[in-house]
Amino acid sequence: MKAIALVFSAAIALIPATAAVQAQERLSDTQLIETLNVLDQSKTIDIVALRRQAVDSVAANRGPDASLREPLSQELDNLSQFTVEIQFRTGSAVIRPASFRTIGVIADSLLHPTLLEYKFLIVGHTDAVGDRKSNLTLSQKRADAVRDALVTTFGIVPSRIVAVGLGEEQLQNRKNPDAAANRRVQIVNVGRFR
Amino acid sequence: MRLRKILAAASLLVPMAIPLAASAQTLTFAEAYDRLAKSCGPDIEKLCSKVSLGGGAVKACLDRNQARLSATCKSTSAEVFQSLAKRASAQATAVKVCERDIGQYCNGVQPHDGYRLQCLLTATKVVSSGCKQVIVDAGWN
Repeated sequence: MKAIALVFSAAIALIPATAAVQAQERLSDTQLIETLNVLDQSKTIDIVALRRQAVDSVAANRGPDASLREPLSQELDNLSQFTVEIQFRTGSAVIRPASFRTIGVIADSLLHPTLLEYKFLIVGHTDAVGDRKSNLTLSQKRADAVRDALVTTFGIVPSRIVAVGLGEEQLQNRKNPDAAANRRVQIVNVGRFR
Repeated sequence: MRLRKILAAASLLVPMAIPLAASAQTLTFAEAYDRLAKSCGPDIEKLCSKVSLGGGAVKACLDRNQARLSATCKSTSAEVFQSLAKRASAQATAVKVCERDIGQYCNGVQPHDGYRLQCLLTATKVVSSGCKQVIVDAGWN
């Protein structure tokens, strides 16, 4: 299971690298379909509770030092998933053209017959730069923007995708709370559709 | 050295060949939006910077600003959106178009579009030409 839940953080970190390197690391729908086409029915996640936990975490100032902040949900990281980087305009939920292809790859994958039987969760994360509450709000707006693009422009059935923003409450790189690797979007298989 | 020159010449020809191939095989969303970002990226950043990708708003913004778009963006976006429309309609109508084939070859399959289409993909050699074409246009082959 751990091997399946591959996190392509290597590709994420390579965004500003040369074109040649990028071409090699290019995200493909084959990778995404393969990784997401696994459902472990023993693992489930309560999305409403997750969203509430994130809000409570900020309100209670849980783990004031971001580098010591425990992940909100261990369950989330145990589900089949794929992590991508999406570029947004600074402080906004507008997806930049540089990431249009990535959204396209996600759409191609979710629309492929192999994955039509599944529902997905889009989880948005920020790094720990700036105000914690604003980060939570922004990450929710950004996750919503990705979902909105997928269901409107790319025609995915709305009831197949739920979006959650976790702000800086579940950092990927806790040693470096401000690191780019923390700014990420997870696409998680959360069970059968219909 | 000579080989390198030939390769360089060949690589120049490749981008010209792509639109031809695309008319038979519709573009994936990834290919389509990659081309759009490459040809229209600067125009989008300039003219549509506050516009979100959802709701077809980027397309609407490009349409609104036709007169101000670069020539490359104008031609690429027209081509890209045409191909996407064809693919979207193929994906939306595939189950209907392939109804008879599904009845014939995928009778025992669970009544779920995902399973029906997966069955059709494994049966592509024998399905009717109309169904085969819709699978190609949908980009699933």
